[in-house]
Amino acid sequence: MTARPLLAIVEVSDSFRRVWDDLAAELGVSVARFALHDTLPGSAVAIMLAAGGEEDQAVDVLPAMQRPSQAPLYVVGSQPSHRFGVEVMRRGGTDYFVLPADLDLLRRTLASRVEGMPHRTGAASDTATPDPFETLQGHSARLAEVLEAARRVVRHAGVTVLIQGETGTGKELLARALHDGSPRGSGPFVAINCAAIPGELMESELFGHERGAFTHAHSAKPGLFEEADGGTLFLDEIGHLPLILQGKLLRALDDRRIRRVGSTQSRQVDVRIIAATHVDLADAVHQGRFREDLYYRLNVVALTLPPLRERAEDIEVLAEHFIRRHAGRYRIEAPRLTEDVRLAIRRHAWPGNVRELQHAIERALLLSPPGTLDPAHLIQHDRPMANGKGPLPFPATLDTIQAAAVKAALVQHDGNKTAAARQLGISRARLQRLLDRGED
Amino acid sequence: MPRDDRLPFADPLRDARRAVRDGRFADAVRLLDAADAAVRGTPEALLLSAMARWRVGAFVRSRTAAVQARDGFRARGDTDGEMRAENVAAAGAFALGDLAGAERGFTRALGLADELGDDLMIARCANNLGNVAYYLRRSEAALSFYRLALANFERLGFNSGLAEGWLNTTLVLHEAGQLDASRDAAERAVDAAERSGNERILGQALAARSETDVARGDVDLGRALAERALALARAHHHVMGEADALRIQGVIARLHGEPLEAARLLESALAIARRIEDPWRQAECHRELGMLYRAVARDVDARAALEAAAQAFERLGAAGRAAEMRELVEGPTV
Repeated sequence: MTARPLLAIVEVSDSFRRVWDDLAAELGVSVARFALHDTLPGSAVAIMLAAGGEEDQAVDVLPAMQRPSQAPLYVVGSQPSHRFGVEVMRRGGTDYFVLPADLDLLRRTLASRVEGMPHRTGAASDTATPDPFETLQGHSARLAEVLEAARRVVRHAGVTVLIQGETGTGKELLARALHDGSPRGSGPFVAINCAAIPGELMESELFGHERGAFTHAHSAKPGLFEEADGGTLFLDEIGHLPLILQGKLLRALDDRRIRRVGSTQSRQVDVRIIAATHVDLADAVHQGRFREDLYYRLNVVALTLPPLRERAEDIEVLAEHFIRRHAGRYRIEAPRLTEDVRLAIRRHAWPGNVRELQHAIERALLLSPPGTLDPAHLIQHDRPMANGKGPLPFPATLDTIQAAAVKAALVQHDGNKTAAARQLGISRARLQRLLDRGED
Repeated sequence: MPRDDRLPFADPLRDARRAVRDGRFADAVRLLDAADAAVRGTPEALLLSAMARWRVGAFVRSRTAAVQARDGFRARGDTDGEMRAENVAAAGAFALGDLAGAERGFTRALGLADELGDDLMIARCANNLGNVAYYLRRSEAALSFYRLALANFERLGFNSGLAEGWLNTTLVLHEAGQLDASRDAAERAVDAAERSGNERILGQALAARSETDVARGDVDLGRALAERALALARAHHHVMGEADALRIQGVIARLHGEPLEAARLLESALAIARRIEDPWRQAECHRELGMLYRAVARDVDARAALEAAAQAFERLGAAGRAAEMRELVEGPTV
């Protein structure tokens, strides 16, 4: 599977189905069919309204169609009529093609659209996003240094990048910017959090599997490597990748081929890897938890995002940015940063970094009277469980803490032991044993 | 002799297709039922009939028609048609609570979509398989399918699909107790919904975010978000979204110690779920009513509500969830 431009088909009738498939094969594009009221993808090279035999209906539906502004909308029918063509364009269509007579013309039109799309390899187009890094807000020297290094690598489509930084510093945002600004920018960006996937599922997630490869493999399933073909695979928390898979990842990077679990055949893939971690990978190598060869393979270019406390001068810039963003989202008046709010955000340490600041601003904006930002709502100081009894006891014996955790989980789940056990990450039987012990 | 006074050519398939397109599903069913047997029996007509019947809630006949359509397309060697019919048949099974049948059907459709390289169908089938796994409380499988769906929606740049996929991911992570990850997924759902311009999905994403914030202990923020979710749902006449937002507001009212208000909100949500014949939402409302009545020691009402929830989950094939409701019926009040 390759990342190809997309031809979006909206069917008023089921006419020309074979034509789309043939055209797609000839032009190297993929075809996806959408319902009339679907919001159509912005990435489509063109929207085709298939209306063979239903031409009169096509003009009725054209004004109501939701389509991305940059994609042309071609109506394709079988009724030759100049009057109809004019009507299509009057109602927002880009052009009208009559098949089979206009097939060559349609093919040429689409081919020229495809050629005009940004290429995936080679030099980046000058018409690409002017600054893909503008999503990373701030003027501090520490951030500027990182972004300068990122700008130097952004045009190199194949270079592997390792992003380091504490949780909430914007590692995925930087990875996305590196992808968007690169010659692969029109290809897929597939993000995966290695810490969130159980080790035993990871191989199938990354490389896919064939039908019958294991007990629940009822059908073949492509892996995320295949999904990212032609684009970027962002491996967040790479330090959590099991050792055995580290070797397989290294092979995939070196050979540019992957093999689905249960398959005897390998598939070629063209994927750029951006990895991220909040732990010290060099230390993990030293401790034998991370392969040294993979570390050096990933660490071609290393970018380290500073924590917010080390770029204090950016905090207010970011706060203002989040105020504008969330005020727009919730359609409320954007308040100005008052002196007491500035003081409050400067005093806080922001251990959760930019993400924590964003949440704080959103919270205060929603809970303050319209047009204001009450500093009292910025930080939620206590985080008791939804209907629990407050924080766990500490310092205390482990037994006391465990008993309190079990009780709090049960309270939160209204006495549902299965749900409480699931939340605590233990079996229901173990939860029962802990409960029994507490009753002794 | 040429006839110039002919009546317009009658094409029931075309008329039914128009009716489906315009959302006149009952009309489509009527038109197809009235068509000649030769037309009615074509895979195209059967598939159309299956789609229309599904939308009017005639799930048994929808599934039957879809299976016939699938077999017809298969006999003809039309893999694309077979895949679409398989997907509709699986959707029928899902609606009927035959989760095993739905899983088999969506799995086959996914296999065909993979064969055809149809990214959108891969995404939709994966999303549906994720929903089946979620109902069956197979969290890891659900998340895996949603990841596949999201990757495909991402490839297509299809923001509504991304919003839906992240919304589903939010619910699974929430249920698994991974509340920080759930909030992160909810935020992604909100971002994608915003980009898509689809305010119905935006409302649902805000509702899911609200639920997660409540579970994380930030009831005030949850309430503010639920109010916005409700406003969006009502502005766009999105009854499912309205039912969800009312249910969440009911839960928040319970947590705030406002049982009467909680009961009113939950009963309103349940009334909507009944009106639109949505068994899943009915089950969720019964469950929350059961929790409310337990909290205020109305044991008889609590048992009735939880038993209703158990039965609804059972009808949906979600045996594990039904068992949990029964466990609560029998269990002590904590």
